[in-house]
Amino acid sequence: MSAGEPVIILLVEDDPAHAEIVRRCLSDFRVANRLMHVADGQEALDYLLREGAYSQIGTSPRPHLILLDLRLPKIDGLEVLARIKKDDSLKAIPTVILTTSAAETDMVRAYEGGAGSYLVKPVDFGRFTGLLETFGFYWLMWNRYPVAQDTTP
Amino acid sequence: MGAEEQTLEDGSSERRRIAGLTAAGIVTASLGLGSLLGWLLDIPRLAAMGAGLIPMAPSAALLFVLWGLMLLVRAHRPTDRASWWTSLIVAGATALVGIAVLAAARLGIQPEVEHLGMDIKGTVGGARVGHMSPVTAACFLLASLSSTASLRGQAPSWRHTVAFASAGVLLATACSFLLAYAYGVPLLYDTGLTPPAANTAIGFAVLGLALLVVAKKRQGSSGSTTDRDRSWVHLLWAFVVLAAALFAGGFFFQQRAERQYRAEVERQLQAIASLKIFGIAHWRAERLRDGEALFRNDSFSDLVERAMAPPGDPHSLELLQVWLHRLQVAYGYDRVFLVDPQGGVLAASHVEREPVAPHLMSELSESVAAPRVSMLDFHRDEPGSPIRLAVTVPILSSRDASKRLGTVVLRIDPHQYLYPFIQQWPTSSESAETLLVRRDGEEALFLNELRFRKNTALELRLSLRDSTIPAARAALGHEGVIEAGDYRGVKVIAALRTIPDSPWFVVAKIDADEVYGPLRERLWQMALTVLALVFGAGAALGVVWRQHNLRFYRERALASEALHSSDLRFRALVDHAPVAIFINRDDRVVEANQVCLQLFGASSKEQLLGKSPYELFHPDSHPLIRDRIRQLREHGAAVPLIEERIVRLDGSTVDVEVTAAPFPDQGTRAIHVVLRDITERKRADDALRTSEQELRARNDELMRFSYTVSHDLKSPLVTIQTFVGYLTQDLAKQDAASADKDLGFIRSAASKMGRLLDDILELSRIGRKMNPPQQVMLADVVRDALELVAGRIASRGVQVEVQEAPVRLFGDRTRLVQVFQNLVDNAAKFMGDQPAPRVEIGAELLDGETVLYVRDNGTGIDPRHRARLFGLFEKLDPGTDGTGIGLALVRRIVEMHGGRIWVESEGRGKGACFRFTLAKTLLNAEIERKT
Repeated sequence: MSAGEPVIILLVEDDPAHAEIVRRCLSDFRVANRLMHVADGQEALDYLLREGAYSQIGTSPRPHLILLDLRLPKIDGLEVLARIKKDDSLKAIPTVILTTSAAETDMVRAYEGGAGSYLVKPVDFGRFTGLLETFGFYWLMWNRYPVAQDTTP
Repeated sequence: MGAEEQTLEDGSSERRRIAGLTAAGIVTASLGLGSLLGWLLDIPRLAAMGAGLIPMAPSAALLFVLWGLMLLVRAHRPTDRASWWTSLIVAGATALVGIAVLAAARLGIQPEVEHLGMDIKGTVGGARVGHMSPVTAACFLLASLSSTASLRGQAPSWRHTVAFASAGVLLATACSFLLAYAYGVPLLYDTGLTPPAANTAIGFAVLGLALLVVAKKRQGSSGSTTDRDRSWVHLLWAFVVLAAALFAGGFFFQQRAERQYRAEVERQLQAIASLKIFGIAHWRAERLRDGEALFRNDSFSDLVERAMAPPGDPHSLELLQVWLHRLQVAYGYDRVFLVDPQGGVLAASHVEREPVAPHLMSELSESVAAPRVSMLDFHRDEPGSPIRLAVTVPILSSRDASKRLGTVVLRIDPHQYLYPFIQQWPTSSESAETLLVRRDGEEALFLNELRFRKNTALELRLSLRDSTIPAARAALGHEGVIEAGDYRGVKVIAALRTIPDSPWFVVAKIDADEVYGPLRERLWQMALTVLALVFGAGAALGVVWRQHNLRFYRERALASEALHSSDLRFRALVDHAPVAIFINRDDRVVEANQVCLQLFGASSKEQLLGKSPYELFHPDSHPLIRDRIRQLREHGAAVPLIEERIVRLDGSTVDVEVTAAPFPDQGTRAIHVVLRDITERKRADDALRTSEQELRARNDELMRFSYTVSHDLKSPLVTIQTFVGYLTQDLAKQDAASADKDLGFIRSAASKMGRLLDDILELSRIGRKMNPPQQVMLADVVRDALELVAGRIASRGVQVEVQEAPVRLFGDRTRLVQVFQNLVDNAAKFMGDQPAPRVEIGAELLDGETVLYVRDNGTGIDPRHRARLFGLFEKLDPGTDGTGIGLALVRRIVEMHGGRIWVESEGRGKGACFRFTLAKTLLNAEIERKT
């Protein structure tokens, strides 16, 4: 990936309000990024595996980073994580868990499932936006991604 | 009694039995062989047991040899097939011979074939020798019957009885004949029937005893009545000893009586003989004395001389005549006359004169030399004339003793006194008589008339060489009592005496038959008495035996009763045991208790008895069972409790706990199996496990609930907090449009939070608060539910169909309404773009269970998400309204009512069918069926 290319982030979030928050924070950021939002686990997998509504070429660019909520309709976030890590073409994609759950079990299972990072949504405006800002710095500014081997853009 | 002692006793009794049978076989065979040898070598004593006794027929002898051999075989190989066949062949052959002989006797034939080719002639006791007696034949038939009936150990009891009875009858018959022989009155002699020989009787006695032993042995081996049998043997011995003592006593008593009687008879005979001798001697002396009165009587001599003196003195002669007449009359002489030396009769007692017989003359001339009174013995004057005796008295001259004047002859007619005196017997007797004999050269001459033969006097002569005849022996000078055949050949007892001073001998004799007649009579009385005593003893012993038997049977009955009652007690114990018990003998069920019948679903014992245990257990457990049975048989120890599965008679299976142990059953190695139905326990285990699972599930649910609640409640809180922040920023920037947007998020999150709180409250209420259950019809519940969701139904244009058949539910009416309300609402909500939305509600019978259903033709459910459908706050479609609590609520209510819920859908767009069960819910059809 070249420096000018935007970082593609797949946001898996069922709550539209939360998705809005993420989008606002990231759009304020200087680093170019492209946020793809899916609302449930099934849709996330469809996107990643390019099935269903995402079978058309171009609708589902391969993300550099996945921002995954745990509590999702249809397919649970941990299940989605497991499927990603099982898939050879997907497992290299760093996956950051962003959830309201501060439960220890969720955290352990997420890490065991191959999550790269585990972030808990704070119930505080400043802290939440601060978290997302730090997240942006880290993952958009400093973090390096391999050139996508994927043939599709 | 210990088992070992028993065996020892059995062994010794077995040895005794073998020894006894061997001895019997040898004796029997020897008797037959001896007789055959006797016939072959012409030694009659070997075939008959004494002179005058009938010999054993060669045919009978041959059969005895066969029987002896058979007894030997049976003694030494009692269970052999050889023994069996030998017995059968001998018995069969004997029976054929016996029947043939009996038939021949009936037809009056005596076939020569019985002589076995030997030349046999002669008769004994009026029967031809060498032929089998019909009695012998009958005895052989009895022996065959007994021998055949006692073949094979496991024979029915009537055969023992037959064997015993026929052997007993055989023994009794043989003993009777033997007894008769022993008492000297053999039976059936001179009756026209051939009597059995003495050795035949001995043979049958031995054979009868042996057959009793054989029959006894068989009886002993057939049951465990050893104790009873021993007492039987004791009693038999007691009887045999008693009978023998009675017979011996009778025999000796009879012998003694016979001797005494015989002595008495002899004494009588002697007395009578003495009496006769005395009488005869006296008579003779008297007669001689009569002559002495004239001898050397001078006055008589003078008278004779005067009468003889020539020319004769008529007066003297007359006087002499008178004298002689008076003499004749006074002394009872036949004639008295005076003979002159020339032989002329000078004077006589009678007027008519008889010529002097020549031998009288010779006698007279003989007496010249030594003149004395003498008696002229029995004589006839001439052949055919009467028998006379005479006393001759020489008359000598009184002056010259040498001058003989003449001789007075006193002629005696023995018929007048002597013969009657001799013939007279002092007691009444049929056959007694007295004989007077004289030795005449080498012959004995009978002098008197005999009782049984006429014209014997001076006629009957017997050679002295034939010395057995009493008269001849008497003539030889023998004295005393002898027993011998007389002139008739008839056996007599005779007293022989010599009459002193005479050539005469007296025989006083009586027929032995007459003498022994009363003795015989007494013998019969004795025999009858003895037999009566023996029978009495037998009867007494029989009574003792019977009493003993009665006691034995009573004891046995009591024991059996005790056993029975103990058996009953144990049976009751087994029957009422709360576990199933059956007995397996040789892989067959031979006994089972009530619980066992119930366990296998059998209505009667017969349904289980005879079945193999393998039929009763599930095929899966067969190897294990086989192993356990083998273990039981080999080690005889109980096998541990294990769980197996049985197959009931109706084919259903039941889980059981099984233990088994060896069971002593009639000497076989049976197995007693105890089973316990553990279905209940399993069910309890399952229930426990289920409730544990439920508890765990509830716990999990609670965890999930609190987790979900924390997450789902936190989520709108995050939204509110964040957008409040944005709102603050927007308000500062005076950005009204953004502020409005922020407020929209805030409002939405707040209302969502409110709904969540309501739902959580509702859900928690279901667990806590239930209305009392009641019976309610499905239609009523559905009607209430439809009223509650009427709005959505109407807005979506859903057509609702409710099954008409009455279904009765039982539970919290409000909650049940809630179930249908949620399900119908759910169905209406997910109709998608279905042009003719329809919901069907009803109940049906699936696998014997009443299942309620709510079916729609809406969007259906992706099978991948079915599992999460009933989870709390789970929403398959984030776009729809609601918190995702509806189906969780429904599941909660259904589970609270003891039911379960699931969904069936063939996929998206194909509609969905929610099915659920509720405990105590019945279709009307079922209601009717059950009532």
